[in-house]
Amino acid sequence: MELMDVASFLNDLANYSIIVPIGIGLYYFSQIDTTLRILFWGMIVLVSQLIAFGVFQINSAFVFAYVNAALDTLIFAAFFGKMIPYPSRRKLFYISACLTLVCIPIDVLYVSKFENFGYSTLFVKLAISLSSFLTLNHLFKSNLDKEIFRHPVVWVCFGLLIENLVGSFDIFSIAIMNYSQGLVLQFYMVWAFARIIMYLFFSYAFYLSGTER
Amino acid sequence: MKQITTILITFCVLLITSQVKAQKDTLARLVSVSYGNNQVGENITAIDLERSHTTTLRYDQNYLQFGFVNTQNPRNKTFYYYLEGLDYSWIKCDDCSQAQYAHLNGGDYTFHVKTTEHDDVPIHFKFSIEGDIIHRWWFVPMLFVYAIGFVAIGLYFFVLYRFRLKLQQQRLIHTEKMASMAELTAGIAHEIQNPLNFVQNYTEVSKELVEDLLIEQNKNEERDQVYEAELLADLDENLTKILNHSSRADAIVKGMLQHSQHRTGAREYTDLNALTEEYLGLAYHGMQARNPDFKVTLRTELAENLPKVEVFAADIGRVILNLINNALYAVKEKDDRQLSGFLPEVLIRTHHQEGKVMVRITDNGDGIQDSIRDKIFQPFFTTKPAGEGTGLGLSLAYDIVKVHGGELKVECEVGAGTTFIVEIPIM
Repeated sequence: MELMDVASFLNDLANYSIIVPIGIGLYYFSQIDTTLRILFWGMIVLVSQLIAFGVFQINSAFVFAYVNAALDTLIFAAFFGKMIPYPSRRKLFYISACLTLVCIPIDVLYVSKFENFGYSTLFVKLAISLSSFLTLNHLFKSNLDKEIFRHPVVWVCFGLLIENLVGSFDIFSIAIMNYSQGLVLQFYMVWAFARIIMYLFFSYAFYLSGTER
Repeated sequence: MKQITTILITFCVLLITSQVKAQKDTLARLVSVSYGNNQVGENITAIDLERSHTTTLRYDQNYLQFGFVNTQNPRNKTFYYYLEGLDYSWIKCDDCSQAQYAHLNGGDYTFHVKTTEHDDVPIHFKFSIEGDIIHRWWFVPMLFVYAIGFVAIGLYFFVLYRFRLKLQQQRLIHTEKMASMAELTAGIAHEIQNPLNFVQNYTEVSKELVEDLLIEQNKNEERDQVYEAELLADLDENLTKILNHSSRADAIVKGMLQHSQHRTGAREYTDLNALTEEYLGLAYHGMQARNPDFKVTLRTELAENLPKVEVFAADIGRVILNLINNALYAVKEKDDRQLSGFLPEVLIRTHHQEGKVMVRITDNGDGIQDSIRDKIFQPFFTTKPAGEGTGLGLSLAYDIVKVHGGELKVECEVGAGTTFIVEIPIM
């Protein structure tokens, strides 16, 4: 089995492992809280994207990345916005997300020009990482009465932080491919693992939210 | 000499024959080798195949094309080729005249190609690609920055988690102290309430006696001297009782003050019998204050001539209070189930042997299950319902006894009761 085969297999496995948290989320849907319901519907949207690309046979990794970045912006703006307690800050957060959404097509059409994965996709990944980091920071410093790892959002944020930090390395993948295809494939394998870990964390978060009420 | 010459000649002839045969059997021929950049397809440069030395390419010139033909039968376009350094086996190529390799890593390679003829000897082309991505100046710092980022985030949350645990522990210890103080306060309040009741009652009676005396004195000629003397005697007796009970309250307050001084002072020789009795009273009254209807038999078997031990009296008192409270809780729990014939009882014994003074606190509650016996001294382990116990009482008691160089042991029989033994060495 060549490295390419292993990387492709892991990539497919990571993509399809999204059905695990969706299944668990569906099972506990009536018990999970509103924030996690947003995440659940977000994953439904991401699965729909996978199916649509399959049906319409859109094989461009670049196009997939651009659409994915736009969907991620929408889903996680709704997810993290829900957790901001101050209306003024929440409004600012939503405006930033809308600006990002506008910047993605500009970046794709006039800056990246379908030649790389786009700077806006990197920005979205870093923004999600930062939001996860700040949310985790807040959760760790508050609500001392509850065991921190029994908090579902903690697992969601850890998953997002790991996946998006690893994924942000993708911006270098085109440059690295110029030197070594093997190295890029190894990176995609690591990224696939990170995605599988994220989905496992999401599943556990749904389970916690569903069983702790 | 002649024989050696013959052997040498034979060897040379065989060698030359094999070379001629090899040259004869090399049917495939490389006609072109070109290189370029993976990403920029149009810049392809041909390599001069007449050069004798190994071709060396730059790190970003790692796209190669090899063109080849069958010299014996040019129409036959079936070949076997493989790139040593990348491929693991021969690749069969039907109806083709070139092979392409892209994204080759830095390193040494040899391209082999041969026809499908059985005895064909492959032709080789050696080349090298300079360096590897890890030799690029930006690659290692970039990985380093990423690794530092991951480690820093991981470390940050680890430190935050430890800090959070510390805060949680401090909060629980504070809760435990507050609970302990509340129990002490309830006991002390009860202790002071008794003499205060006496003082209040005797004062009221004395006031009535004084009123009677004044009425009697206002009668002038009809005054009953004997009755007046009786009233004065009763008054004197009441005042003596008031003095006694107020002295008792004073002693309790002084005792409390002494305890508060002990907490910051040094070890003192302490009579554990007196300490046990004192804290037993506090624990019992605390229990009565919380559960007035609960009846329990308290028995003490205190050893005579128990040697004094050098301890922090307030700390050991806290241990005894905690153990008695636990014993009372256990018997109350069992009593609440209204088992027929069950009489709640707590026994406190003191004795000394082998250079140790021991306080044994025994209850006839439910005992401790075997599965949790190892955990009872662990911090934050509790069998009490949420809000009733912090799980720190026994853990703190264990630590206090250890500080005194002693042991805190437990003996129990499930369903029959538990005995906690505090052993303090006589120094």
